[in-house]
Amino acid sequence: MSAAGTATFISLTRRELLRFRRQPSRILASIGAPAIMGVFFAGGFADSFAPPASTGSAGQPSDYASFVLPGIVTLVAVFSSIFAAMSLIEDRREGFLQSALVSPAPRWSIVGAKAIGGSIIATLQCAIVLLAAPIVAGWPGITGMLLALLAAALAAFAVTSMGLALAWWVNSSDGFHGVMNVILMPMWLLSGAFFPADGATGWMNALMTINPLRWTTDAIRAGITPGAPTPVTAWIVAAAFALGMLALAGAIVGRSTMTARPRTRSRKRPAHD
Amino acid sequence: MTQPGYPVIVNQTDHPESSPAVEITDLRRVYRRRKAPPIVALDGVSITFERGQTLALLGPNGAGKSTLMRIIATLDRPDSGSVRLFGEDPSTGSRAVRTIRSGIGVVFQRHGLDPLLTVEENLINQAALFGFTGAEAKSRSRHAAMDLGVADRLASRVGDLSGGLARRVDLARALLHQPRLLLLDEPTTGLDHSARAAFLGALDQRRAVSDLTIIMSTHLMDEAQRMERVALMNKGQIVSLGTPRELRQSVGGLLVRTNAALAGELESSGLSVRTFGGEAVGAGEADVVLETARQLSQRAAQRDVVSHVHVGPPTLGDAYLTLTGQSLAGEEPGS
Repeated sequence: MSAAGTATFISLTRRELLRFRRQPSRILASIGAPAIMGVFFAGGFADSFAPPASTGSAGQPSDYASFVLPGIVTLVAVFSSIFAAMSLIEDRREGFLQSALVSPAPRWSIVGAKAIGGSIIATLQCAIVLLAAPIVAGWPGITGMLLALLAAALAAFAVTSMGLALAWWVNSSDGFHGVMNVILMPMWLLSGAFFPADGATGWMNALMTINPLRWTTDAIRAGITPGAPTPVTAWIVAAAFALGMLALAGAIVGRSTMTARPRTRSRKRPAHD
Repeated sequence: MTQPGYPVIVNQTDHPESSPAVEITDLRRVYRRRKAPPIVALDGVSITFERGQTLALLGPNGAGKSTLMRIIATLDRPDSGSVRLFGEDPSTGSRAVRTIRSGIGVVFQRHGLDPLLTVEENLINQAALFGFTGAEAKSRSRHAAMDLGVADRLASRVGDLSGGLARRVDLARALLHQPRLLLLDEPTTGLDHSARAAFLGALDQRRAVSDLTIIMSTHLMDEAQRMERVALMNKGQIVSLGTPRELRQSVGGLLVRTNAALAGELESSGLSVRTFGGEAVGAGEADVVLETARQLSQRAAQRDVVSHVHVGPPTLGDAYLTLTGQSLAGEEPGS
């Protein structure tokens, strides 16, 4: 990791933050939609939601609003990460990416800036939603809040990296949306955001167990729930999820070339790296 | 950091200054498709040219120009053949690739600028891509903007600029790190006449004060004529290479153009004739052309079948048509 590569990485990360600041609609879409969903779900299910037997005891969410809040944080991370990955497609369409790829800057600095920049933005938005935690679930302490934010950051980084890996291959925003809806929305629905894994039927419980977003949501939930024990398994899976997606993005970007052309010309040979 | 952190092309004992700017040997690139015949984008292209020269790749869409540019820019690899830029072979490894990339600037058909960022922010980002940061990046950005006449728009967002102005900023971006080789891939695509003239004028100014090696792909004759040498490309091959004058003269000293129906008469006058787009074009010795034109003009005056008679020197388009049987718009004869 050369000094010049690091300088490039920092400059391009700054660009991501500038771009975000100059797109108010992106802020609204990333936070507004999940917040509205959270309010509606929390209000709608408040009386009909049957919590697991342990819910309400020490270290467990006391009501549906406090149960669903971590799921909303996860959804903010997912939405924001999708936008971050989509910006890669925009960069390709606008020609910025091609200009970057023809420079001597290492690819890790170009894609890493996307991943980190997108993750910072997603984490900041998660932090805004997490500010509601003390009101909804009670004050978990500064450590709990920070752990929840860290879990959200890991989820954001993992999903952003996964999105970048997909965006590297998909040419259009429409196609990317389709792919992400097929992959990410089921992952989120089975993340334990709306209902606990313990109450799900067998096959769904199994799916939720292998869903890494379920574990990041658990880690967020434990962070904002006063008195909750540290979920070691959840933290291990969350960290592995982030590292795994980073490795996936690195492998795909490192081994392939990206072209501004439509894919009618298939089987492209790798560009020089 | 005030110095570029990436390797740059310098005088090296194994790559002396005498090595040509570009050496391309028997380059071949085929795009294989799943349910369609393969496209042969480059079919045995070979070309060498020296440092400081300017070259136009002239041909219609699909001639292979952009593929050749992408390979020279290290964005694609050939199936076979070799490329050496300033003595460096990009196939030898990532260090060679980075060295080459440090020494080239590229202007693509679509500008490589971020519309949400200001001109200065875009240029500073470009500087960072080449390892320049801090005061050095800022200084280079301002100099590049001044050189291209866009210094007064440094604080403007690129998305607010006209297409022509954005193109000049893009040229500033490509020149910011002072490359030795500038690649221009149909750089005036989408520009109106005045914006195109402004872009080409800015390019001429830069050429006047530097020994920049330039390769420009285009399908426009007037752009190609600005370069010292022109390579005419058709179906993945270079069909002719020379100065614009040499290529024009290869067709003949003068041409006469008239109705396609009079092709036979032109031929009987001893001219070599091609018909295209409802028009017959006769080429030959100047005195023969002039005499034929005089006779046709007389008939035109008598309201004979002659609708028009034009005499003039051949263009690069004529040279292209003569060599390939196609117009620069990619049309076949008779269309």
